Amino acid sequence: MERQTFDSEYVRRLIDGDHETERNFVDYFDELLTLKLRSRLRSPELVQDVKQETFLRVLNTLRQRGGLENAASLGAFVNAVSNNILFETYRAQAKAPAELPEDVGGNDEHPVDTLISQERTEQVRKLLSDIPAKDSRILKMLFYEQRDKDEVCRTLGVDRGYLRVLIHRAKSKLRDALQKKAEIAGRS
Amino acid sequence: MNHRESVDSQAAERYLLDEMSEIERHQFEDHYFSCIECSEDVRLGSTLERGVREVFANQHTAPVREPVPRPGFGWFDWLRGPALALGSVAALMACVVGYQSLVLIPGMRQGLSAQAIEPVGLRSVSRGSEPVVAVGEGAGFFAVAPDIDPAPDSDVSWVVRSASGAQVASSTAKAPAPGRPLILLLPNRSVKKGERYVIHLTQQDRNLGDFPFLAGSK
Repeated sequence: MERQTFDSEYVRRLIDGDHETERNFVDYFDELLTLKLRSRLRSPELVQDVKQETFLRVLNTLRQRGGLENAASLGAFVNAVSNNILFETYRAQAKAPAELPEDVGGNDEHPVDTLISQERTEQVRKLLSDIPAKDSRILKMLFYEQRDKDEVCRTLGVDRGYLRVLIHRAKSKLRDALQKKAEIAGRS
Repeated sequence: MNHRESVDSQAAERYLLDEMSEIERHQFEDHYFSCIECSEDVRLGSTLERGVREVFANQHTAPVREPVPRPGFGWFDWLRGPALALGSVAALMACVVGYQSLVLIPGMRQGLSAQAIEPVGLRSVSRGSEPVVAVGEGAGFFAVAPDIDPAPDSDVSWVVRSASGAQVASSTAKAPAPGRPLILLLPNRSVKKGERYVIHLTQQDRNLGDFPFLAGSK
């Protein structure tokens, strides 16, 4: 995902219905909304519904108001709208649970997660083979086996701080690898 | 929460590890929806998480497509990829090959023809009930991949025992590269369907675990 700054020109294009800007807007916030919503809504259908409603309301509100006071706060605005819709969803579920799609709990794999590209998987594979075996084991236990974090710490003799530092370093390596790949792709 | 607070508190890592209170989650989400750097950090964390899942999921479900050659086992030159270990019967198989021009062994020939074998992942005894491993009829092999974490620089020894403690196969194998599975190919005829077996693995003085399985039908 390319870095995106939101200025008044960007918001203007959104209001005017510029397709490329709208597509960029949805692409940029789609993953962020998914990450935020999937921890609160087990049902993938509900996650999709809330996301769609968020995009619709943001665009409608921008068009009705003619913009934002501060274009740079577009991200905060999207988040605030999604929060409102989330609360409405909770209230609706509490009042009439039979009318809403079932909350399907207990799934390990969230269906709205789309498979990341092969290239990214390959970069993660390389990362796992480059880091010490113990660290690779920790990441496997955390993300593949989805073990309790305290159990992981006990089993491998580390503390929570070690987990955070490991993830931070792993992300840094992954970022560098992906950037390098992008630079090579850009040159060729 | 501002950017400095987010970085200093390792917010992206704690978010990924689900270590935040609900209030903190909201505060961090308020921040990263507006902060380019933190939103990238959150996305990267998600990419790492999903990538790890896919890497290990592929390891435990992929069929043996690119087997590795084993020195001294010319018959298995088609084997490449993850480390493969053959039971003590492998030596017998090499002898059988030598006699193939003189003695017709149709059943054995069938077992040694090209085939695709999907390894079954095994977990140690502490992780729950044993899986059922489908074992074919007649000559041929089944494959298992015990979930071990060996050091990369020394051999792994393994032994398969029946429920009564009798040894049915054993050998040593070079430890696979980090992140790669160890796949054991065992002859169908080394086990009896309906019986329980345990694979015990060690590396020098280190116990790598006991991996039970139930031999079942295909």
